[in-house]
Amino acid sequence: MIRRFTAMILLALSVLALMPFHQARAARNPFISSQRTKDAPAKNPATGYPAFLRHVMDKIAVAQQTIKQKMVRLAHEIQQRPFGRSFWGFMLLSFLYGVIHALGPGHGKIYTCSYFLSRPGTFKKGLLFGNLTMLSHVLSGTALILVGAFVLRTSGALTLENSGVYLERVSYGILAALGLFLTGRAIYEYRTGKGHSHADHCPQTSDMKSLVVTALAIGLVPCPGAALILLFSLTLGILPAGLAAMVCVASGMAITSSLFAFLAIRVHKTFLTLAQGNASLFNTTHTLLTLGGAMCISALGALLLLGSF
Amino acid sequence: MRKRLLLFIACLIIPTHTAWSHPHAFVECTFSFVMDAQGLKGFRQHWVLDEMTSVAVLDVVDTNRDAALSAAEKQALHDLTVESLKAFHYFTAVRINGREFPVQKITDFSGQLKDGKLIYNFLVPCPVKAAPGKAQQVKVAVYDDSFYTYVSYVQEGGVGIDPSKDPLFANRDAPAKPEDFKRFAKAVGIAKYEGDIPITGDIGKFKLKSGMQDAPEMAYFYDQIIPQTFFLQFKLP
Repeated sequence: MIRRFTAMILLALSVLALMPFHQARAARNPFISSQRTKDAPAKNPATGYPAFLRHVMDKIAVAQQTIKQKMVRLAHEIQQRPFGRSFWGFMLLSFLYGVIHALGPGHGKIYTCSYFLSRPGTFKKGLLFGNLTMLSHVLSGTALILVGAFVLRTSGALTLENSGVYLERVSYGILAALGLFLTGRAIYEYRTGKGHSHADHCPQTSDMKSLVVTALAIGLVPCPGAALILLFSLTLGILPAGLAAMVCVASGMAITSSLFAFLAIRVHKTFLTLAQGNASLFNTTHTLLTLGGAMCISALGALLLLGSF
Repeated sequence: MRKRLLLFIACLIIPTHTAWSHPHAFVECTFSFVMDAQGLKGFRQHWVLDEMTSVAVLDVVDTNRDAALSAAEKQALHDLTVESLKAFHYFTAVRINGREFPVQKITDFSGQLKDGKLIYNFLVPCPVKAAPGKAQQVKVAVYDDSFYTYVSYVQEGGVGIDPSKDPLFANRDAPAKPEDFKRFAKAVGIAKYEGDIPITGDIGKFKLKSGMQDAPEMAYFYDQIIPQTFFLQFKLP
């Protein structure tokens, strides 16, 4: 019992320590936007990471630059031959870019983790969640660039910068409200004994409606990385390749995002497995996870919403 | 059970912690110290923006979309840059004798477009008078603390990153290898900077010492990145 309890505390601490909190900010292009994100992480005392991670991080930065350099070269070749070998190379690189790009701060990984830590999920649901968030994330940026360029006849980059802020606010607002709703439901379930009536089995998995709403709300924030590639394609006059590349970027990002969902689902399962066999511990664990995750979503949404003004 | 637990923790650490590097924009920066009769005048910087970032900026300033900058468009680029990067202190972090000097302005800005890349040239004023008998120490790092941008230092005379410097540039027959990134980074100059640190202006008047130094006290982005700084020490002989 004590060993099991220690294991749970250890797991809880590591989850808390490792949650990708750092992404709680939206990226703003410093070259064309005078508003800098208020919570830009210039200083954060509560950190100190091992040196080897810096190397890994540097490597990823270089990897992204290398991919972009190669994409620029291929883009010029596509100008000459729209559907030659370069086109497929461009698609492959877009996909790779998506996978690496989504590892970076942002892209709603904190929400993905909170969501699946709070509710039991299946791998299928993790996959659906990852794909939905990233598809809408890329689609949102794509839409802004296209509307800016073709409808407003102005700068696509500026449309992204300016309207992006409003989309972010809507997204944060929905997430804050959704978190409150999930919190309320968790409390209701706890009071009425629903949700963990079969104490030793997994309770009902996360319901589809809240999953889809959460995923779409996260994805509402436009992805600046994908948008840059589209903007570049637009300028070079290879819009079809640019649009196809958006699908590839989204697929790549979906893989990374789904991986995070899978991890959270596994951790949730491990918590409940550790608590199995002891009804009161199981119920407490379940309630703590559900409440904690829901409150985390709500608090983050509210904080980001307030910080965006 | 403990084994599985450790595995989970490992799984959690790896993806989350590799997750910090997220630059969207890339700048190659050539840096030099500029001296005047009194001491340090400031820092001259030469930035080459990557093509995609250049496109995003041109999208705003190149209003007639002719992929060239007219005089009016150059002025617009000047205004946009001076205004936008101000909140980011022009990516220039300075310590004078260990004390922070917040960069508030740049002067002498000129922007041009070359091979689809925007090139910025400007001076960051940072006057530090040489004092008799006392060595003045200045450390400068160029980075975007929001990490939207990845700034790499390049040697003067180089035109920033040139992918064709890669020995395997455009070589379709070369097999892909795990060390590709390393080779590319080295070939195009994304590595720890070991190049010259030019000092221009009235250099004859002072005893000068310069070098590159890692500055853990200037760590940024959640204290994870320790910047490489340009270090200058000068005093009256």
